[in-house]
Amino acid sequence: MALELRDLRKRFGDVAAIDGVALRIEDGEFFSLLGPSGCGKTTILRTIAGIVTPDAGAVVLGGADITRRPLHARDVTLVFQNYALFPHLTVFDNVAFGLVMRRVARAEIRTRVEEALALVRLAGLGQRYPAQVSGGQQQRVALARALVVRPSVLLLDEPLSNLDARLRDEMRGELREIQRRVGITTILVTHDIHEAFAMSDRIAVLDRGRVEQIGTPTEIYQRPRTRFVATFSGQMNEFDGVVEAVADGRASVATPAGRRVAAAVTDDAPGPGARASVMVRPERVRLDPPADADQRLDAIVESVTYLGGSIRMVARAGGDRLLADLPTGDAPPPAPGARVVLGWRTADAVLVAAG
Amino acid sequence: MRKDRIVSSLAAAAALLALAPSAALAQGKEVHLLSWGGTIQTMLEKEGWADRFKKETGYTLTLVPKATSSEIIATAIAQKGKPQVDVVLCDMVAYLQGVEQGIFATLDRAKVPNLAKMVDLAWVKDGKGVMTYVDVVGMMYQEDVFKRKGWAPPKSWADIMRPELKGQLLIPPVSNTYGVYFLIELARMNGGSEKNIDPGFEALKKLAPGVVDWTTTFAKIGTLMQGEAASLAVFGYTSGFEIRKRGTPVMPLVPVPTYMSPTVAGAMAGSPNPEGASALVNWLISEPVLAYRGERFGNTPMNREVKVTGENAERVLTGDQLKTLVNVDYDTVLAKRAEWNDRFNREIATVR
Amino acid sequence: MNAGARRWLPFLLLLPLTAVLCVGFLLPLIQSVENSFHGFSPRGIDRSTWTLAAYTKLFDPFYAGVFGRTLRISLIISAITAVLAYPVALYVAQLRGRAQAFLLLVYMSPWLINVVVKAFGWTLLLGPRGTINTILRTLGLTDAPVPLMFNETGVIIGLIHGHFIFVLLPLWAALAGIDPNLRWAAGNLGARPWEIFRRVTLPLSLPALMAGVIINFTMNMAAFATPALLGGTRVQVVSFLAYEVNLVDLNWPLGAAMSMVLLVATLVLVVLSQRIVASGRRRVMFEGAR
Repeated sequence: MALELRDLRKRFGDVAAIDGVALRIEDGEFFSLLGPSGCGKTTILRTIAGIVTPDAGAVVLGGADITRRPLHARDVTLVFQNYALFPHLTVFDNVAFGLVMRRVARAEIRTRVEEALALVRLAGLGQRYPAQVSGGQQQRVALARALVVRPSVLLLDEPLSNLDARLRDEMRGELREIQRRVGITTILVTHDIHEAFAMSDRIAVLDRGRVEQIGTPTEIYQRPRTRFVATFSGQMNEFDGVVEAVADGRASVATPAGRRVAAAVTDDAPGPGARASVMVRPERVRLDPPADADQRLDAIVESVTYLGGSIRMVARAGGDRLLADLPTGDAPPPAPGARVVLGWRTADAVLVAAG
Repeated sequence: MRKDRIVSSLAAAAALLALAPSAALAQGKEVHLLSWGGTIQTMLEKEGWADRFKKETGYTLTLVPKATSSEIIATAIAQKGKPQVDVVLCDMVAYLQGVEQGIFATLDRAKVPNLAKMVDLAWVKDGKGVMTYVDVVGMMYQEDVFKRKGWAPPKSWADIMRPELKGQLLIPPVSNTYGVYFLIELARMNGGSEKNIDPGFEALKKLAPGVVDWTTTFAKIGTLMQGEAASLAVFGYTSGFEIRKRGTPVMPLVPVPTYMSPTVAGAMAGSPNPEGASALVNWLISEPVLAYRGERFGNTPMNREVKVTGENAERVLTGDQLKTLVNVDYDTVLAKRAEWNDRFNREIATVR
Repeated sequence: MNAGARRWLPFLLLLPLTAVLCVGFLLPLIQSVENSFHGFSPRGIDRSTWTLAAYTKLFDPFYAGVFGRTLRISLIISAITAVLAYPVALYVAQLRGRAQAFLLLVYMSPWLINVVVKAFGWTLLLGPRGTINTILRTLGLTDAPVPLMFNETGVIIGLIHGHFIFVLLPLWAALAGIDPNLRWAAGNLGARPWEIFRRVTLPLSLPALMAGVIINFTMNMAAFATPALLGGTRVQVVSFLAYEVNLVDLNWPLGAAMSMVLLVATLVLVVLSQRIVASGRRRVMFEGAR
């Protein structure tokens, strides 16, 4: 079911935890709220669940305003960061909890709980207590408990953060797989960009209670619209300066050192005279650039680090420091001190207003 | 290194701890008195009489305080054979229980010269103890309540049976020394005696529904009188004055026949400091101590040569007056005490 | 310091407490057990004879009645205290830290006050001319004073007040320690406030409640001063009677026997209640699981 947030606001004392958030999540979509800690993402999730009451704005589920609906009467379920499994109940009883509350017939409870446990690959562990199963299994109990009641929306609050790295990768795929199979509208809260990129249809990047940008993972990574999104979503080479001219979807920026760099822009980009930055991802920077790489500069290699799949080169070009992630080829990379030419396509650079 | 030092200092501390008691015993100049924490403690510790004792005899006096005579004598009996205290001072009835269990030494007239000055009555069980002073068993009534209700002030033991006083009474239970004397008086009043106690219990049974509380402490009597929860109590005569002194409008009186509740002192058999014990008993029955007890607390001294002056002088019985006191058959009391107490708990205490 | 010394250090540090417990608790207890099997006469305890006389005497309806009353009063007090303490603990547990500390201190205060002073206070409140009766009379609810002292009511009121904290403290600690996410999770899954309480809060706090009630119960069984002051001789409980038997009658064998029966009865009840809680814990949730 589609979910809409309308100008949601919530203050805790002097701090605006949610500062006017509006967004729409489509039916069946896997949507992520991505941001650093304190950006308000968990508060938004709790507002949707009904644990937190917003100061203003509305939560609209499938066309119905549920902003004031009590916690127990909402058709959304939440997987807590610490899972919040009932320690005094068996795995089976934990999963059955929501069904019992909904007065589902006993026989049906049994079938549905068994199904849910099978879905998360926990069949046969129903009689254990939460403390008797592993962290990854607890995570799946929490997921089964939330899914078994067939909610309109599933909310996931940093569900993978308590797992070790290997298990996290595994669960990431599994979670996405289960979501696709069930076809449920899902909202994931995370601070981990890789998690958000790997699982989401769309992402909202949040900072200090505001939405910075909403888009697909590709859009967020390749066409960040703000400095915050650009730097939060990965590493960037930055050229800060003043916009000189904008024409034909292209803007050129002059840096204080006198360098001119260009970036592809859209209509709402900062206009001439505005302070702005041109940004390029390190993996878009090429060594001995081909003809279509129209942005070029001479540089001196400072260091070279072999990373297996790529080589991280740090180089200096005048006053600017450049990062380049180069493919590992047969030829050995240039040694520190070597003079090189680095370049990239204008289309690979983005322009963001100065932060 | 550091931990080693901790271990060795712990060991040293443990060794010191083990040595400490014997070091104290080695002095030999201490006398331990087992008695009440109430007026005795006030006298010895707050009003400087322990220091006077030390100045006069050279012995350091240490009080081992207990709340009731029962506790005092139980503690003394528990130390039978290897006592840690030298002298015991408590109520007669409890004291006699100790005599019965053979825990007291016979007092030596040569070492306790003041014994010669005591009235004959004061001699307990062939010198196993000596009465230092006696308290008279009395009654007290709440003046405000009596005035307000227009009741005549009580005069005799029989007044306690007056119908209007039902629900106003505070009477000590038989487990209390005063309670024993009151039970005996009730028996005698109704044609019985110590040996024929039934009439006493029958009278108690008649009184029981009108008793607010079977009270054992003067502090509680004071509280209940203050709160006008009760208006007539049987207890020590001097306790009545103590309560009055604290601002509660009670008037003490001494009904006739007058019973006395003696306080007895004696030395433990096999006491760690027998010389000190004799010195302390001698001092406890000396004129200054007993004059102070009389003037300060209204206790009637058993030493013929004591002159009590001041406001309490008229409350203290002297000379011939002592001969009017009624004595009781302590041998029977002693033999029957547990039985009476048990009977009281079964037949009287729970009646309402 | 060598390994041997390091290994023995903890035991060495425990030694003083162990010694104090042995001398101050274990030895007297053993002595009491022994005493309870000896004979008695006004000449004192007779250590040469061994007899069950003291225990036989306890079967007498009078003594059995006192044991029954002690047990009944103790259970009533524990039950009422549990019911009264629960909402208080719930309320305190959800307050902010400083307010929690303050309120707990308030509830702890009766325990810090001398029993005799408390009894005096109760006299002012519960006496025939006390505050409560004055209010009742002024409101015209009663003609004659309602007897609130020198009966079981007085003892029950006094002990509920005196031993309240022993139920409140563990309960508060358990409730404050429950992850708030658990309640939200229950609500999120469709539980109304009452269901959240019944299915989550209550079962999670039950072990603490039981622990508190057991402490409270044992203290009620052993209470001496409050029953003596607020109940007087009219509400005889075992500890009061044991005191009289020990100290007034000097009948140590009987007193020791009473103490032993009190101790054993209390222990049996404590163990039984723990068994019940332990077996109940596995059955608090619904049948669906079986």
